[in-house]
Amino acid sequence: MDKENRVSFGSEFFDWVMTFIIVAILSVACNMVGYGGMLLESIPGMLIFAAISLAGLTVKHFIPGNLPAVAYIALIGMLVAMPFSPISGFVIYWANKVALMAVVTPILAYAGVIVGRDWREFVKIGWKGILVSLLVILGTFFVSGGMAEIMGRIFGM
Amino acid sequence: MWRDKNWGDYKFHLVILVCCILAEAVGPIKIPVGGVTVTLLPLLYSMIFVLIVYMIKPIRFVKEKQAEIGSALLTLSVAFLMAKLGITSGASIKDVISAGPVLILQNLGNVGTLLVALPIALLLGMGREAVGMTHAMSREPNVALISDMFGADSAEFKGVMTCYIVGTIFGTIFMSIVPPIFVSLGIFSPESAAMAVGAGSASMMTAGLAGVMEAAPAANPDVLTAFASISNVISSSISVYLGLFITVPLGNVIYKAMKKGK
Repeated sequence: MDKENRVSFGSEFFDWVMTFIIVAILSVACNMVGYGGMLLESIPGMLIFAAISLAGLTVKHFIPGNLPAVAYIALIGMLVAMPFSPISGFVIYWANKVALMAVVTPILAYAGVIVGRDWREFVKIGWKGILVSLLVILGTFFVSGGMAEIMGRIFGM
Repeated sequence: MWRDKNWGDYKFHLVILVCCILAEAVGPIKIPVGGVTVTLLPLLYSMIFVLIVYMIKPIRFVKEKQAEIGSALLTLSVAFLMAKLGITSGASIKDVISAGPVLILQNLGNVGTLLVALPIALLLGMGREAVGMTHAMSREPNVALISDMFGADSAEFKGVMTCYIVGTIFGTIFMSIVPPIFVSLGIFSPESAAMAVGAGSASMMTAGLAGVMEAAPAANPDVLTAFASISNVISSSISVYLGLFITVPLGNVIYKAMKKGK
């Protein structure tokens, strides 16, 4: 049983690595075309992101609970970049060579196929459903932002 | 054999690469509307370009199967984004700590979905599906939660799927337009708006964040990034619990009260 688990984790890990190679190629391309990045300067950042992501996914794989993998990944990213981390300077320097949006554009490209798949379902949703759903997004933004405004004044931010 | 893997569908990934490069080559487009500037970003075009490829009938190698692959790739490319955002947050840790209480507590504002949208949904004559629809700004964890609580055949599940699909299609566009307007008009400070765009969806968050940065060139972009991404992580970590213990029960109460009142 234990051995079987290890084998399946190994192949899953391999799939993650291969996928990150694709994601890295897409992000480097976006960084060069859209944000004036250089090929060689973009690569260390990609390796750092991949290492942190792999660490987070591995933690998620072995720790039970409902916390999403992205929470572990963000936490590890924060820890390595905090002032007490011996590698923070290095990590921050190379991460900054990759524009934030260069990592985002590929994500939305993949979202495009999902939108395509859902399109037929979407057409069936009436105007009421669309209106209420947009109000849901607006409500989240508006109330969260309002609370931040008010509490910011209370806590003197 | 490797071609059966999600990463092995090289034709599909090449299409994605071409769409990304085209989107970045076009670059941001600024549209002044009254006193406010709305900025359309490459992330929107890359989504639309791929959507167009999907819709074109003769292209057969980007269809339902690729939507499955796309959702697996999406999850892992979000991992990359979170690593980048985590680093930015760690680098601005001082600002994060000083904003700590506000940063954490404003996520409870996610119940705002319910307070704003549920009464309107019920006034429009919706039934139980309104509870599923408005219990959260529904992303994957919320869809799973509602399906657990009410079953996949329930009206509530139909509601949560409606919100999920509309969010997928319009969420990014909506978030790249609305928050910058709030900032430009001075309703929210850039910092508050940055926290508020982090509501559990990575793509909506970055679209909103980019807009807020454009609208507030004087604010420190790293601090805004840290606020938005930490708020987003907190939101996605608590969304299931918030739904389970607060918004669904509260939604039931509002639903009963309003149906009785009629």
